[in-house]
Amino acid sequence: MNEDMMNIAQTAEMPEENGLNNAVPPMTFKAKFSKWWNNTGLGWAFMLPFIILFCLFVALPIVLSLRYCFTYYNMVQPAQFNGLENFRYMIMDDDVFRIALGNTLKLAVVIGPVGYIASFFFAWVINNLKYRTFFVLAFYTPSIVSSVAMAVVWKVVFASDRYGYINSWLLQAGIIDEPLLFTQDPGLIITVVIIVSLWMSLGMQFLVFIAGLQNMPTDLYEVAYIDGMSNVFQELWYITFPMMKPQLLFGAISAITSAFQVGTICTDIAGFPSPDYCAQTLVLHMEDYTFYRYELGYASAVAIVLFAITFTLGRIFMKVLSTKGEY
Amino acid sequence: MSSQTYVPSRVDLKAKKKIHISFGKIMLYFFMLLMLCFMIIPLVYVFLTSLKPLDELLKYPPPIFVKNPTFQNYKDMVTAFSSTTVPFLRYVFNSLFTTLSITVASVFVSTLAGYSLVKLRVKAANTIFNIVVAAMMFVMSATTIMNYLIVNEIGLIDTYWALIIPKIAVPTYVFLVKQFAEQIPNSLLEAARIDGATEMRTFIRIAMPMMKPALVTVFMFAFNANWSDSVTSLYYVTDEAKRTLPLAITTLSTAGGLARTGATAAISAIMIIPSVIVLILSQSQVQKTMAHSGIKA
Repeated sequence: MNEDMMNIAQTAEMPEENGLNNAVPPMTFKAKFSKWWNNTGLGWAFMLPFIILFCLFVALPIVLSLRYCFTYYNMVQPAQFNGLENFRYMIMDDDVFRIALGNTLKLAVVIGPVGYIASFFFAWVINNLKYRTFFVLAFYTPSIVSSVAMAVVWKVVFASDRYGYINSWLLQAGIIDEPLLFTQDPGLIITVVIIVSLWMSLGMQFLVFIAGLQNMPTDLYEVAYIDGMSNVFQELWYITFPMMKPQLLFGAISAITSAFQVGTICTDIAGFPSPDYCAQTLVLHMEDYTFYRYELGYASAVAIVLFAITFTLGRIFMKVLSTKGEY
Repeated sequence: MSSQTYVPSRVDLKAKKKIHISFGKIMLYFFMLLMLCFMIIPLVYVFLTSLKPLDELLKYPPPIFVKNPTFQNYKDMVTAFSSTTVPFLRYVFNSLFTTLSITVASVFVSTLAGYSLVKLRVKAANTIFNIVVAAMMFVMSATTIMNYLIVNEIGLIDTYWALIIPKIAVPTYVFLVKQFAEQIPNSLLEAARIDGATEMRTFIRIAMPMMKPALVTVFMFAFNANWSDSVTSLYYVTDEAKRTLPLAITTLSTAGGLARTGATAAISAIMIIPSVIVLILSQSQVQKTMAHSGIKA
């Protein structure tokens, strides 16, 4: 032990030695405090910055959304309670909400499962390839680069005139006579958004799967091989999936939240607002009502719908991929 | 028989050492190569476009490769902002300043919280952790609107604080650090405590170095998420002098039209480079961290 450590050891033991010598050990305030500090104080002190910021900017917004979703609130006048009016308007009268919900679900249904399965598939394939790191970096990079920065590419690839790559190839191949209106035709815009989103969908879950696969205990595979396992599908189904449940659950949660979060990509491709709101999503609808129409009550109601959907889906996956009682 | 061609994927048997080139394997490599092109060509294309002179940008059909590379677009990018009140470098500074502030604060806050959740005997640790996991299931962009209200209420609208403070606490980062810190052996920390080191000293001298991969990972995620974020900068500040690079791209591409394509590509390339550099530098540490990131529910 070096001298420095010795000193610390001695000073720390001082109060206790005193206590042993006296019949009634008097705890000084300093000793009491340092005991409390080491046992509970420091833990809370470490937690505090996160708890404050979390409560203020993550929990409070959710609570406020719950409060304001039953009101009419425009940030100038005090909020007026109007019961379920926001939800009634949302379901009965707001045509754009219907488009936004439809688009969000359409995008989520494709991007969520496809992105999730693709993440696992590519992680699984890449894990057995040479130059693993290179492949991981190349496949992961699209999900972290700014979608605003990539707009310059998509604008050329999916341009609605004959200068666009896709249009010029299709015209040259003689498949179409007129250029397709990728950024104007409602049906095509969503297709383009889906393609771009899929390109960006190998996100955090992809990294989790790669890491999970890499750390699988090899002896399990050896035992199963000796026991007569005969193909890779059995290997996947009976060993890899059950062993990777925790990683699959984390991946599912990050896939769900990113699938329902699509918004910026729509703006980059179709502009905001898009022609006839055809590329509107729930996130964009919320921003529209907050920052352009100042109807925060209604925007909160939309936020609540979004929260409810992702939270329910997350809970379902927690049940399905539960590992309780297995370890 | 199928059992003869099947080799378990991670088992080092003799059969695997033989170079076994099957039709399936060639197809697999071909497929992966195709996917690789699909993933990286759009990225490469940004850089190629940023180097194209004007006549190549306007050609039909649009060429993919550059014939006469030039840095003219990068000069245009800077001069395009000379007529406006906000110079180009201001956007770069704003982006760097806000992103680095959020990232460093995020790493700091999540490290402390994640560590104390598993190693500092906080009584409510389980409850707090469950709340953190539940919060991971909420779409974070749905909190943007109410955060606007809160930021407005505190009086931070139109300041740099509005761009920084709301984005520091992210449940996922605390989760990642906590999962990673869990596997630091308790005996090691106990040994330090018995030797008389205070909790603080144990944390700094022993735990911190062991948690380095988790810190690097949080840095990578936080840096990339905030570097490319355009929403907060668009809505939380109205002063053009406090806006970030993604907004500069939007301004340039909507105002300039086709003539500004080259300059827009140049900013886009500048946006992409830091993300890629941070990712490459951090990837080995990230892999270590993500191995512990499963959720046991």
